[in-house]
Amino acid sequence: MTEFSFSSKNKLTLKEFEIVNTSNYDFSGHFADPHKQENELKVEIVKIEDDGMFLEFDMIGYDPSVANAVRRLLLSDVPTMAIEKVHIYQNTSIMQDEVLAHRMGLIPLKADPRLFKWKEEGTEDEGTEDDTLQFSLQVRCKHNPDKSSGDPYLDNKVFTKHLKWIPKGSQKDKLINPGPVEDDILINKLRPGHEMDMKLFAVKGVGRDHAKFSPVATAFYRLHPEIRINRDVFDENAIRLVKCFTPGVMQLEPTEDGRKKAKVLDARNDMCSRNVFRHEDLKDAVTLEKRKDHFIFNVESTGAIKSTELVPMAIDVLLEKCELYINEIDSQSKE
Amino acid sequence: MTSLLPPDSDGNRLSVLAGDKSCGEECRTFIFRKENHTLGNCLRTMLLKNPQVMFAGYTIPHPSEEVMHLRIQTVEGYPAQAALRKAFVDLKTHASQLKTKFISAVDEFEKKS
Repeated sequence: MTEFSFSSKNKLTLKEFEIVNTSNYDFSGHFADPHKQENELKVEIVKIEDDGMFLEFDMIGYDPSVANAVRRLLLSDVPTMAIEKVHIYQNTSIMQDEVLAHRMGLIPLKADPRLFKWKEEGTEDEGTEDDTLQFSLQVRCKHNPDKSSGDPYLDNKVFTKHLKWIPKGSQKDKLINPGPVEDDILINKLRPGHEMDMKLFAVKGVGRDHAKFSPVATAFYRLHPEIRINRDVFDENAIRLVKCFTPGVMQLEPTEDGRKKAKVLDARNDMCSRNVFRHEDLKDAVTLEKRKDHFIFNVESTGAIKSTELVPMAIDVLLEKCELYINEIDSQSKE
Repeated sequence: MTSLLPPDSDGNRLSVLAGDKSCGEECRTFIFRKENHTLGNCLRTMLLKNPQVMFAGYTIPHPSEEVMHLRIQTVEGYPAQAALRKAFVDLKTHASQLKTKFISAVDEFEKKS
């Protein structure tokens, strides 16, 4: 089935040395009522894996400013809990105090930030049950008295499983296990005689302040590629053409006269390497394009909140901002 | 439910640049504190969709300061502030529709599997 291509105004073209038609505002009729086009805007979920932590979805018909806003909000404006203050009582390990404290901050915590309040600046580190989570890490490395087992040391590797949650006030009734997302994250290595004893305080923050507060491992989008075959390519050349693209994108199909023809199966997974331009004779056989209004998002959560909940949270942040500014405009115009 | 936005103790986030008084209500440069491309580009897009807006552009004067300037020039008789307010309202509608579509897409996907 040949794919009927849409009018060229919504596609950008990848040429050998340049990318053309990238601007979104060059065509006439750009003034459009934001409410009329609602039925042309679509959101489709493609994949949810890893118990909701990995999400792939498509936004079709939207403006790149909105798609980019969602991406930026996911990275820097959705709040998370992370360790902010570390009180070190004892650290005789090789790792310096500040390096160790930095590492503690980067540990992803399972606590849901929506259950916590923002901690006010200038208040003491200990905090209250509404805005702080307290953990304790106490590890001492000793020689292994059991000579037969392979390990000569006891507790020489400090993992996140050694972190103990110290519930404050009524937290033990409200929260279930707000500790680290994974138990086997290596924090430090010790030898007999080394000891670590510290208290850790986790608060709510946003990625804008420090990347440790970002709820996503990463969130990114790419445009949906499109490959158009300009002239049919057969046999040897077809095999070379198919190899130019990511596996699964193009395939050979048999024709009536026994030859093999190259055909586009699904351009979605193409990584746009533009490899075809290395072959002088195949360069003109295909046109590589991307749909300017079809965004393929990949959102991978660090483990605190599911990706399917993170995207609505990101949009909620945008809605709150709009609300805030509308109220400010209204109150300023009353003056 | 607590707010998703961090608390801001410094008062107004939005102010106006004292500029040329020769153009009246129709041209303004708005100064947003603690905002960046996330809001700026979206607002600019919404403003450009308004046929009564003649000019709309945003800039971040220096990347070290979290300040964004938004310049709006409109047709006669239509105040720039009204255009800005409409842009926010349109953005809010657009974003809520996106959220609803996303949530229903997730529900549909979970029903299928």
